[in-house]
Amino acid sequence: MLHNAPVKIPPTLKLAGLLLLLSGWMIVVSAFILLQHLPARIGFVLAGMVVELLGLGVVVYSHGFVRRSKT
Amino acid sequence: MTEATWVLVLLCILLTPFAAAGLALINAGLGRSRSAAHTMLASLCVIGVAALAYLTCGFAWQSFSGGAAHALLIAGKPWSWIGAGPLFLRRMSWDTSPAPLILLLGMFSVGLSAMIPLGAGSDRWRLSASLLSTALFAGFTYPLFAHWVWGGGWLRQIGFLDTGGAAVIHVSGGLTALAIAWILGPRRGKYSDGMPAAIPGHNGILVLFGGLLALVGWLGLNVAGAVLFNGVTPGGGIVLVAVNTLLASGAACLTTAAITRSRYGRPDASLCANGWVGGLVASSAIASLVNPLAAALIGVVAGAIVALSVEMLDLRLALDDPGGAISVHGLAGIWGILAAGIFGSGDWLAQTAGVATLLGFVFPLSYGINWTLNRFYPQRVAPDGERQGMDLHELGAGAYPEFVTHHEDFLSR
Repeated sequence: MLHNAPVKIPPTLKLAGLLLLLSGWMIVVSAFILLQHLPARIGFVLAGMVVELLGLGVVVYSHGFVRRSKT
Repeated sequence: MTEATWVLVLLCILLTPFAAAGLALINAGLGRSRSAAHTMLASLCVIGVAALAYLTCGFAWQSFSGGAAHALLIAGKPWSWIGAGPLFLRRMSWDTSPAPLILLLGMFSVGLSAMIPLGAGSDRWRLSASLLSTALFAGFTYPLFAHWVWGGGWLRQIGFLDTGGAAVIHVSGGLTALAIAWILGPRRGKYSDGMPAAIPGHNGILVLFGGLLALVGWLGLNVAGAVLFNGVTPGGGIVLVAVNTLLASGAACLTTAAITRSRYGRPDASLCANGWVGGLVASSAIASLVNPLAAALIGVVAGAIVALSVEMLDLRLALDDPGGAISVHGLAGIWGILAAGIFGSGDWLAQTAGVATLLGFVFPLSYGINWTLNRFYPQRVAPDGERQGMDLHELGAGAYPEFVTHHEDFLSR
């Protein structure tokens, strides 16, 4: 399973994932600081969480990629 | 706060080192026998380094509600983002105000939190590197987030509640454990054939006794936190906290036992101990906020999360976490934080923002700090050291010198 994967490692993938995590958090923080209207705030918080989950997925994938290429 | 309350909280805080002792035993028992003394020594040293870093700048930057802090004025409202107390505890008033209690609780808590990554880095994390990582964690990452939650910072301002430290202590430690597990990579031989090899812990009794010992510490931690950070007054409220703590851990342990029995035919003792601690971690978020039935239900879900996620991280994500720190402290803690908003009196949107902050700020920060540290000071032990065992390689003597060592232990895999 792990040893059949490609060898080339994209160096920026992990960084992209971490930046997505940070971006999602900033959306959440902005929602609390700047938005007073509750439905809008809820929408932005949930959107921020989605961005964070996407970032976490990218970080997980990048590490899986590194693991596969090392073995 | 009355003097009787002050003494009660002090006594509860003095119980919290039992949580650290329990965690140290669990980490040692789930690792290999040839690294047992190393894990225990690392636990002691980590607590020491964390306390010194907290003394130096940690408490100054964490501060406490009503203490000195820097605030950003945004949209006409001040948002407190870091404490501004004096370094080295200068001008600390040693009286019967809450400040000395918050300092003492913080000093034990930061040590407990810094010990969590030891479980993920077991059998391969150099002692000196783990201490450097701890100094950075206890001196910056932990105090910054603790200020946001316990120091009257912006998360507290928006209504985020974490009375027992599920977020401040456990999820921040669990996410640091995730960063460490990724940076160190798996133990030699763990995934050498493409499929994960089972490397069982060397002493189940240590692990299970560690779980029991942790309960004592958690009772103190949850009660002290409930009084200091949620305004619970002595009386029935404190009993409710203790009842909820026990119910959550017990329900989590039983759920893990049931799940492992249905999947493997027999309950898995070490996973059950991890489930127990997962329930304790979840209880830290909810103990003073929910009724006993909800606490038991939250414990059931925490136990299921631990039982299923340990296997998922190992098999699917190739994450070698011998102590189960990521599942037990990270995932069960996140569940507890969200459950406080779902079942308790917490604001679910604020609780979600707390989780978003942990994932979107604390994790990248922790990962970046440890990745940078690893570039200049490699954190993983040399391959020979890993084969030999951390005890012999770094300490010069094993934890169990009378044990016969089999020659195949030294063969390269």
